[in-house]
Amino acid sequence: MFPTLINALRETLIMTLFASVISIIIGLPLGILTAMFANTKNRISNGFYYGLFTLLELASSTPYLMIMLLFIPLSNLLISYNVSYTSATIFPLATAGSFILAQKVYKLFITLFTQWEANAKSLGASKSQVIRYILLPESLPELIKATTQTCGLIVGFTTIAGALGAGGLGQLAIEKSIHNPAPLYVIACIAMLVALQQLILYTGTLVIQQAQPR
Amino acid sequence: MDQSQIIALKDIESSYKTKNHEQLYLKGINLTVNVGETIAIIGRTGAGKSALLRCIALLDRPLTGIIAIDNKNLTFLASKELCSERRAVAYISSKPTLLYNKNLLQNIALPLQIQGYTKAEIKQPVEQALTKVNLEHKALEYPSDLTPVQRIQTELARGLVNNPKILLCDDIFSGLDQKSIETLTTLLKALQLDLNLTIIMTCNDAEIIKALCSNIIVMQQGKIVESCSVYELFTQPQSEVAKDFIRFATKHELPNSLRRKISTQENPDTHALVRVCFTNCLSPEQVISVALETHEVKMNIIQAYQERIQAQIINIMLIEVYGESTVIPEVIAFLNSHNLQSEIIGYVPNIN
Repeated sequence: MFPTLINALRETLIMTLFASVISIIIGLPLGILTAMFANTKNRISNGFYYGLFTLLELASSTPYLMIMLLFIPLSNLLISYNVSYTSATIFPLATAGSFILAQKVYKLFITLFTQWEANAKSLGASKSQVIRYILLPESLPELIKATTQTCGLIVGFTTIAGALGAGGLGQLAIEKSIHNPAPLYVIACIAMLVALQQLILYTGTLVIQQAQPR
Repeated sequence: MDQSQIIALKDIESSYKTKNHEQLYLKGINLTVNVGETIAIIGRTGAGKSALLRCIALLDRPLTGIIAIDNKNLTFLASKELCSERRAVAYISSKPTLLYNKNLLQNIALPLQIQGYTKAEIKQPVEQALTKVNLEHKALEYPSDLTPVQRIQTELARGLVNNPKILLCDDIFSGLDQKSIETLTTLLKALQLDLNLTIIMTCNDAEIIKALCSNIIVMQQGKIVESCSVYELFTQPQSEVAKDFIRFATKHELPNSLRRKISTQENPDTHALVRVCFTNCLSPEQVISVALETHEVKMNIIQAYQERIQAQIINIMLIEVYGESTVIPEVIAFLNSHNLQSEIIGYVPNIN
């Protein structure tokens, strides 16, 4: 029993870890960039803003299963080059994660920015300085929270990916409950997923406590 | 240009876009401010008080007109140069925006940090600024541990760190208790004397204006309708807004019975209601008794009160004057010629 479970857990961890890291690398700057382009009088950056804004809205309101389906051609291509199912799933996972994180970061920044706009301007700060000296330090706890929430969502997404054959705890639980019933496996899978989810959120809380002075 | 003149606005128009048309919210603003003046802007909500402050703070670029600060025309500067010019103007709003994850020292250091000074260079001016607002004992605390008035003091310190010449306060007294207001007015007064600041604030509290301000601007629907010294406003309010302001501020108004009957038309069976203002350096009783002796009128004082504006004391009396319609203007002229500023505010029917 254990080797199967451990292997499934390993696959889930790989998917979550890589997808999360890519989401952070892409999502954070994307969200900040969208917020930066907002409320400008320049026509070009206005265009950029509406483009990015629509992209974020569309991507973050598409159900994850549909994103998976959109990525099937790419997955097939990768698999034909001997990439494992698990690794091929990282791309749709990272895409969904990036857009959801970017959306959260954008909303965070835009509220904080409107609050600070007048004062930041009167302190003589340019837009990039506002982000560097005011928005980033001030929103740090909220940014960490958004990031851990997104990582938690990605764990959930891996189980949906599992239903489409990506491996991991999700796929194992489906196999052992539909095709080859073994309740003990299912319960173990659920316990592990819940534990993983909680671990991510708890780590987030710990980091926030460290980042906040009070 | 005049050396003592620090702010000059000329024909400022400013607008915002709604769906179909452009809505003007500042219309033809002309304003000059001298160094060291403390000016209050009063007016009802939506009259353009904050818009005017934002304009002087160079936050909004006006549609037309010229903004000159310290005899430098800033209207056509590029945004990068504006960034540095804005440092001559400290802008403080009613909602303090402080960094809640940084302590006070770091908060106040923010403007210097933005300009790229090193930590060693920042230390001294920041501590000085904190001392100026009497918060040196709170240096290592965080904004969430402060009271509202201390947060405003912190923001003041952050504004002062750039050594500004002008301080703009957008409604900073709202929502504070009496003691806090006192602390803040005392502090502003001291700062103004110390640093020779020019202060412009929006404020609708007469007590604060009397304690702090030398001049006053009355705004209505995006226009400046009155601009005079506080003393003048209390003795001779011209516009409706100013009259309302004085009425609420002094809590003295006509008795109900009179207010209902008062009219602007003079009739044979009416008598005049006269408002008389004078400062403490005169002896009004004598002037009035001479007026009674030399003119054929009778007078009846129905109200008298005193108003303190910093060092000045204003006495205001409401007098009923009975007499021939030709004599009354003579009496008014006589009182005016003896430094009792008098005006007829209406006519009330005689009671028989």
